[in-house]
Amino acid sequence: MRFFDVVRRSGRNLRQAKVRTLLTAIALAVGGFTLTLTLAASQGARDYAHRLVATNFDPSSLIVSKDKSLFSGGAAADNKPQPYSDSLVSVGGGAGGFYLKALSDKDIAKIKTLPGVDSVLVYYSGQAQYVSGPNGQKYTASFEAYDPHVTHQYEAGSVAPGGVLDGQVLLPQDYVSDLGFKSPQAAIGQTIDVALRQITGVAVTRHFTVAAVESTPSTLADSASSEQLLFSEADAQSAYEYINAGTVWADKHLTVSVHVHGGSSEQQLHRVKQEIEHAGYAAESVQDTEQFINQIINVLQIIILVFGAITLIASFFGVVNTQYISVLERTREIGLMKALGMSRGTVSRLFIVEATWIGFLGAVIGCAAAIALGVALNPWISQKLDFGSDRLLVFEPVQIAALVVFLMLITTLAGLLPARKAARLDPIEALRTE
Amino acid sequence: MIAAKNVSKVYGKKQSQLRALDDVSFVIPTGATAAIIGKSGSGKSTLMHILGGLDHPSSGQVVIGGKELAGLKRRELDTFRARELGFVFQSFFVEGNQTCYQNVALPLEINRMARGRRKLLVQEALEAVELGDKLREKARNLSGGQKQRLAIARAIVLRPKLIMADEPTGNLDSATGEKIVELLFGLNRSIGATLVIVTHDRELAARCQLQIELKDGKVVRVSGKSAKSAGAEQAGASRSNTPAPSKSNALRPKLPKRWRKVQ
Repeated sequence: MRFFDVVRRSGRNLRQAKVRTLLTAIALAVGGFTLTLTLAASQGARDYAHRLVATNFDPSSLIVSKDKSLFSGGAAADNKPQPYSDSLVSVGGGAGGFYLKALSDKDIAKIKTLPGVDSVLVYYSGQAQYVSGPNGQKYTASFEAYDPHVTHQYEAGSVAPGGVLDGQVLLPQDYVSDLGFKSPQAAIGQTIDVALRQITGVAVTRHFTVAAVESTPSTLADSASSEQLLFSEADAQSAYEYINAGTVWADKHLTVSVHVHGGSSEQQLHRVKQEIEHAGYAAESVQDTEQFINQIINVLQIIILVFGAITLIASFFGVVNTQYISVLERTREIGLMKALGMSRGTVSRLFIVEATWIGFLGAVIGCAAAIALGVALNPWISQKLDFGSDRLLVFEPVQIAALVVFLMLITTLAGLLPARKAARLDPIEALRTE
Repeated sequence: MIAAKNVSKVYGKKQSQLRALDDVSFVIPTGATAAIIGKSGSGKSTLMHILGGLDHPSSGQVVIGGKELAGLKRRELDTFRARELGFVFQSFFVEGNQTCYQNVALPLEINRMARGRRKLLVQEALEAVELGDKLREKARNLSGGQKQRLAIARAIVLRPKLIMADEPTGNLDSATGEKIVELLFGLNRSIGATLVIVTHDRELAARCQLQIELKDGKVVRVSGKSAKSAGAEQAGASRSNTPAPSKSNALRPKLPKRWRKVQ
């Protein structure tokens, strides 16, 4: 029998037992539904992580530190005494604190000389004592240096191509009304006061001119760097040095950002990364960070997939059972087909393909239900999670196709035993069955 | 030619042995009509299953068209059944949920025939049994006689060399049964197929050229044309021995033209 005829006949056989077929397929669809949603959620999470990383980090940059344990995640694993070195700084303080090697100005100078390194950006960031505007109200604020490699959106005003000028500030939109400005436009060119306080209690107030107002991020992904006052690098450095004077942090940094010479290609990043590691430092690219996040997502995904797979085991036996019933019900028909000269192989194939059909049906029902639910719920989920235009559930056609094939494969396997029984039926016995 | 040589079939082990067939021998010439008669339990169904390659004899040989069935592999037996044999059963065995077309197309599908040719052959076979207008009808909606005609259409769709009918009229009233019998004899002539009818109906058996009577698994009588002379007299057989030729002729004009040429 031609394979196409086998597929058609077995499909027709299923249609003759509609309710049974549908019920078996629905059992399978539950698994397919779970798996589709899991895949979609994981894909959504990966996409989100990608966006999160891409909008907050310069893709052609590497994060460099002196302490490799900072990237491996096992900083304080070992409480044994370490030999002292000048580069060690204590982090956290108190009983839970631990030591990390920090980069000194000398290290930074050394990194700058490496051939693959274009520039080094030190994270001059910190907490101001307060910020105040025309209405005199004081608000907490943190500051950092404006990074020209990260994209910003402006509500009003603009920033020069080279970045924020000395004495200027890029103000987050949230501060506009708090500080007493009528509108973002009204704030442009106005002065705000930023108070900085040293560890000894000595404080100073500096004046900044508002160059632009940064839009409130529409999504969580954009928010990481946009609640800070952004200064020019020189201003941020001076503010940083002022508030950290007299502490170990005055000339030490856990990490710096290195802008790689010659673009953001993976090979180039890898080459420069090796260069930096060779010089005795640890480096991590944006991709590494993303990979690390993805690893966590993937582990979670696998856990949920395993639960989905367990429901598939149940439906596997459901299909075996259904197919056994189908064979019993059609004993006479099998006898006839064999009397008409149908080979064992073809009889067996008829029943195997029937099981494959059930798998196809179940997979389509499950996936379609999951996609329908996803499309219906995505806007609501995004709103609840403050995802903006991002979607939590991302359906990848390739993944769904693979899932459908996988479910068909499972039911095909489930069909093997009943099909064997059908193939081995004695035609005489079968024809005797009335 | 169908030849059975010393065919025996034994069921069970030593103590509770049952000899379904005991040293059965006969020859049915190609193109002849033969009846295997006997009461129920005489072993006639077993004999038919063995002749059709569905069952193996415990001893002895069955030779059909020069092929010894015992010497064939399972696959070759399947092919033999699919290509050269048409089965008609007492209880029809048509698939009620399928259309007439689908029922008749099954042997063609088994033989891997292309769809285009299938349609033609199915249509012709259905017309031969006067069901040409029921192509899309579900088999369950047919009457008993129509179902048996459908089964016959399925048996002849590939124009087999041998048609085996197991009590083809057993489930039908006498008028309908008569039509079926006429149809079978008509097909025997029109497509030249050897017809073997298994029956307990002596009247039906008498209309065949050859009667093989079984009793308790043994051949008790072979009548009609003798095994040896049947082959030689084959040419004249249809004229002298065919019962009610006028009735059978009534069916002839309804057969497709291509089939008439075969005669």
